[in-house]
Amino acid sequence: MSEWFYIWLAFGLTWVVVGGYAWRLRGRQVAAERGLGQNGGVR
Amino acid sequence: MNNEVISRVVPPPPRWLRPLGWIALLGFVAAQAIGFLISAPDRDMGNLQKIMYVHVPSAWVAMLGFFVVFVLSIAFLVTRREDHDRRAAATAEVSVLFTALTLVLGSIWGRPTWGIWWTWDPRLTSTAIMLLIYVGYLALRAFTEDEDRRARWSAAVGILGFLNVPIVYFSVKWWRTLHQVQTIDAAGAIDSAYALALLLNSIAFLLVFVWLVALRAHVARLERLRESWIEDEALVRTGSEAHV
Repeated sequence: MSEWFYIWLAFGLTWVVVGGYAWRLRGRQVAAERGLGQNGGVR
Repeated sequence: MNNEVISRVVPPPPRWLRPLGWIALLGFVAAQAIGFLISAPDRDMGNLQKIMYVHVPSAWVAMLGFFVVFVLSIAFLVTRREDHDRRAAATAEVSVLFTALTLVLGSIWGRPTWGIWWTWDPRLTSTAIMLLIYVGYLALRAFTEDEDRRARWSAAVGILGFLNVPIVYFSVKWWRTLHQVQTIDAAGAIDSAYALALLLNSIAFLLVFVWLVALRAHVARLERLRESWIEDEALVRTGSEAHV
């Protein structure tokens, strides 16, 4: 396989993993804030 | 609803978290573009050398993260402050992510340069052991219900587990390995043109790492708070039912 296949794979995977984790954390943050709001919290 | 419950405030994230996120994202895009598009190919490895700009910074921030877990674990055992435990756990989780990424990126780099995806080389093996130790740390936290016991046991693993990190770092010097020695240690091993791109990517990875850890610690704080509020409300409800 071409060297560019491996380079694209490495850089692409880095973005997917780091971006995916950040996305998931933001989702958990929003869900937790919403949950706290429903449990009597005020901002 | 009870007045005491309504007066509680949802803690906001640290004020610097959002700006840091944007700075980290812009820095990451810029550094990756320099590494991917501008950096010249290596004489021996050609363009494959570019994988260094993701593999090496990922490994560095992971090892730095485990050092932070080590320090916070000691701080927790000395002070018994819950925030030290929470930050240690957040740092460990993000470091595990970067360690796994390091191993996979190394494998992707190894296939075209060494001809194999994996070998039981001392550097690769000790890194895999490091990953398993900290996956164990996270599993221990997930399966221990009692908060105090969870924090104490995690701190012990955070301290003892760190013993493997210097072994990972020095493995390429102590044993004859397929993996090359540290890029920045070997005299003349890296040209200044590559060093600059590596430095920029390392700073960018570090910013992203700090942002992820801070966000993870904030989420952990919110989720812990939510659990305690639900427990409080259950107690209040049980109490009022008992009065009836």
